[in-house]
Amino acid sequence: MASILKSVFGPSTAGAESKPSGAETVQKLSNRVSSSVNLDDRRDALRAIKGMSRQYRREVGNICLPLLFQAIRNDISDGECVGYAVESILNVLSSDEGEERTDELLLGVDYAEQILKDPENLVLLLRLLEEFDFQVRHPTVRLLTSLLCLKMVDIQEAVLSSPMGISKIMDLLSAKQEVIRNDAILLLSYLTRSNSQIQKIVAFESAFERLMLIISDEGYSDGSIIVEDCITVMQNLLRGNSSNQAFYREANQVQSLVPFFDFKLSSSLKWSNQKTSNVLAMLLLVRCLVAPSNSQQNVSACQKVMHQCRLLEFLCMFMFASGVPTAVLVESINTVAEVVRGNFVNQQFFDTVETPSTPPRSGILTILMCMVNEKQPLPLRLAALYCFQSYLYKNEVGQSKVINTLLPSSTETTVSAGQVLCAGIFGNDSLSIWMTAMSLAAALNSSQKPQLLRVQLSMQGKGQVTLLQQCSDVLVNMPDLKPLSRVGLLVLLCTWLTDCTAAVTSFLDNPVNIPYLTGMIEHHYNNDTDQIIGGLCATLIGICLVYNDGSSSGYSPETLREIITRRINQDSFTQSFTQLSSTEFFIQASKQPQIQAGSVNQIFFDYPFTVLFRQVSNAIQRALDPSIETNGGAEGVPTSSQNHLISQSQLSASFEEHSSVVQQYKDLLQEQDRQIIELRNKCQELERGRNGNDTQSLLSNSAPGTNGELNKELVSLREASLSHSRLQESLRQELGQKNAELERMREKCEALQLQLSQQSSSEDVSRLRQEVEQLRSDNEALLTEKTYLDTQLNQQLTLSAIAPPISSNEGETQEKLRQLSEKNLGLENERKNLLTRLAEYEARLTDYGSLEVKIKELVSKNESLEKEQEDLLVLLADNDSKLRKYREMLKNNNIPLSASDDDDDDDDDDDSDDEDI
Amino acid sequence: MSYSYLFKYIIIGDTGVGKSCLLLQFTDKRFQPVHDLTIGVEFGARMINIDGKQIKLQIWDTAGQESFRSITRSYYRGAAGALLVYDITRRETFEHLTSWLDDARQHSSSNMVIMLIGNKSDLDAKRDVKFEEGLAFAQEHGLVFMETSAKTAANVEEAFINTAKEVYKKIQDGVFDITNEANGIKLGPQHQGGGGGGQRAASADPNKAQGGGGGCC
Repeated sequence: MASILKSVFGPSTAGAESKPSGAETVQKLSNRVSSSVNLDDRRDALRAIKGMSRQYRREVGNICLPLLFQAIRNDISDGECVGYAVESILNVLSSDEGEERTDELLLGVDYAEQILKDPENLVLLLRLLEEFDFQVRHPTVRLLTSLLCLKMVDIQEAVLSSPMGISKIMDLLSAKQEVIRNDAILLLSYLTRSNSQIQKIVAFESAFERLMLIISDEGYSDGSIIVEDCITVMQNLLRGNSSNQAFYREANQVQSLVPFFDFKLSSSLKWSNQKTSNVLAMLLLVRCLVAPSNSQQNVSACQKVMHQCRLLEFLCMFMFASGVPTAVLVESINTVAEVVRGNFVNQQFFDTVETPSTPPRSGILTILMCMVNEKQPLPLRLAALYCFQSYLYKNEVGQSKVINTLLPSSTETTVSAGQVLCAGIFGNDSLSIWMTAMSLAAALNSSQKPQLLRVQLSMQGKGQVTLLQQCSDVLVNMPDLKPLSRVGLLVLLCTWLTDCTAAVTSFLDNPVNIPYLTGMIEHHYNNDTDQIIGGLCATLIGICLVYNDGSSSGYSPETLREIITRRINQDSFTQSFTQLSSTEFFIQASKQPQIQAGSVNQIFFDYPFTVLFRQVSNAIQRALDPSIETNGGAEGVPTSSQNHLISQSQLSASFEEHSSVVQQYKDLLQEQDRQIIELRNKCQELERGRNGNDTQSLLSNSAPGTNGELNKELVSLREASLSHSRLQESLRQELGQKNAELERMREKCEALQLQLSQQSSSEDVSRLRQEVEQLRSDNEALLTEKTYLDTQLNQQLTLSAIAPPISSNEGETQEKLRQLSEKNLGLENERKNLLTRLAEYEARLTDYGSLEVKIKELVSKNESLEKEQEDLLVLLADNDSKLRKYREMLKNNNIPLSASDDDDDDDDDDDSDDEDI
Repeated sequence: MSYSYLFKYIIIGDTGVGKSCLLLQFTDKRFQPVHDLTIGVEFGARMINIDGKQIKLQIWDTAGQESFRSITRSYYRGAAGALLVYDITRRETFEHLTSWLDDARQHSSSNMVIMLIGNKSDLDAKRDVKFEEGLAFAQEHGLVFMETSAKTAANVEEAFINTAKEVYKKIQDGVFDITNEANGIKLGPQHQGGGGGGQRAASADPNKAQGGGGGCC
């Protein structure tokens, strides 16, 4: 480099004192690039700029950036020139490794934006990808990756709108030089992030086959980080992209995964870090295909193929193999859970899986024992629960099998699932109690619920006790029971008693139960936990009310309603159970079937309960409304206006709760949005830092003077950046889910609003009719008054024609007119109130599904009423304008007027109005 | 299910002409009158039989809106066949055909088979483009032409299958370079076993394609 400088500045610059500044040198070099007519000269200058572009990044960036692109265009046939220019741009974008200042990091973004300002620049870079010259192609791939890191969305859009942009990138996968191919995979992993259009085009360009080919060439799970990168791209293509999921399956790609998992598992197998990462990434890819959030059609089709091609079998082997790293074990259990979830054939297969031990043991039993084992790490126990729940999800055969092992007739001699569950639920470990309660709840369906009542336990000192009795005994008699255990038992009881009158009767026959529950609701809430327990108790009472056939000796539905309305106070009852669904724990659990919890403290609910709760909370609200309850058979149409009003007020309350929930979501969303922005900024900073570091690490090969501390810093920075990326990704996903949830909520709101608006028309018709009647009579009075006024006016006009106006008389008339218009105004207000109230009713939520036919009739009636109302409005407006006209005439009062004509008009209007009604 | 060949198709044309409905009718044999706008591209696949050969069709349904044009362009290169659809009840969709055709010709391989489809033939009362006009346009531009109804399924099978026949014929004639997957044609795993040996096209060399194409199916 020194020699180049010398050649540029000649001998006069040799003296240290007169050495020019970096900026000056860069300026001179750039002049040479732009003005020299000699190609060799331009090439030398570009080489020199490249040499300076790290140390004098800012100078090169500020002075040369547009020039460098121009240089590429001018000397595009000279690979060396283009290569130097591209590398210089790459260096300018990457922040210096020594710099940790934010402005340095932001500089790259500024330069990236500058580059993007001219759309031709990106077109040019994509064109360079077609060059076969390594020294052009390689830095161009890296430059595009670097640009994507800095301005992901903009570059994605630009690539998408550039003709064949993606095809050109895809062609790099067939590059002869492995380093280009590998960097292209890295580029794709950024390019395909959360842009479904790009994902689809990349898949269309046979990405799955080509990446899988690379994976197999690299030796599947034994391969290098390239394998992991390939899987990352495939995950991006599949995650939440139903079109690609269908394509993947149709192209028989699921089958091609089998070799990846087909290796001899043994305790002596060496699991390198890279192998662990590769297998983890591939397990996540499998889950992308069967995620419960995917379309049902895609999930079940994939599940079917996964069983047929033995992928499920291989996954199950991972679960029970020894020497498998915990992270892989956890993830393979979660994967198996989602591959069997809701698919009966796969669930039946899972039922037959046995451990490779001697003697072999049932896989399901092993999973349960792992779940209740306090010594196992939390993620493993949670995965075990998820797997067990997924095995039982929509699986009546499996459910009855589990319940049967609990029944007295069971002759099992070895340890059974039932025994493990019973031991867990009445053990000492609160997490085990909660997990076994959730597991038992998962085994319950409408036919198993009465069966479970037959379960007898032999308790020390008590003899034979039913399971139900024991559950409530523990709740009532153990004040020191941990909140998590209490929640678990309450959730189990809620699930059990829902839609099972026999269980309700049995529960209510124990006289201590209801007083315990009411006591818990009345308990003063000190914290979230108390609030949750109170809410669950309220829900349980509500369930006892809804599914009560009156056969309990102690508590009939009426008694329970009495307790709720009189003793507890209906408002606080409703509040305590609806608040449950707005707690962070509930919202967290309702997102997806898999429990996401980093620590035990974050666990209270599982997904199935959140579904159940949403169902029963409606039923409970309806059961508490006497009008709806008593008229339940009569299609819920209130017969008396009093009942009607009660139901309206409750509906209103329920709507307010719903909107408050929505509001809470919004707040939460906003908060998360803020956090994400914060994190994104931070992450961007870090990523920029990492970028710089990457460059540095490449640099350090040629300049081996880098000290160890710097490397350490680099590693930690990269790690931090990675974890932030992950955090950001997960937050982004969370936000996506939140948004989806909100969207669902809004859709639900809208649907219900629609329903209500139809329905409210039925409920309001009578009242609306009354109001309209009222309006009409008011209007009639108004008309009478107007007629009277007209007569008077007439008289006055006659009078005024012959004599000067009597001001007092005029004043009086004007006063009357004013009163009339006031009255008009009042009527208008009343109408507005009416409309507002109507709108209120429309906005309320409730579900009276069977009303539709009647509703349609009523809707049309309502429409005609609305038409009448409109007619009335027109009439009122008419009156108004006439009054104004009269007033004007009075003012001018020398214009003769045939008042009788106007009267006739009014009469006509009035008549037609009457006919409509 | 093994197959001899795999063809990639795309369906193009103005928004609302019934592209997604044609695909749904062909793959699922059902008609969905209310359909959201296609956002980007949806996917469907089906196996058909030509001359006793199993042929797998992979069909990408595109979005017709102008704003998605640049995205649609990315699909031309890798497609063996394209169904260019217009709506016989909306003349403007017929008038836009030239622009679609220009786009397709510019970005696809020259051998891509383009089939012109006048859809919604069940709505004859509302017809705005005569059959003869469609035919004339097709003849002028060297396209195969058909009128279809995604609603009644009339000619839907034929449209997809005739396109496949054209592609197949081009393979037989050695027009397509089947070793290049970018043409939207892939040899099926059957060919690896030598099952397809008798029908090999003169100029194509399936042996060469086996390494790349047969690897992961």
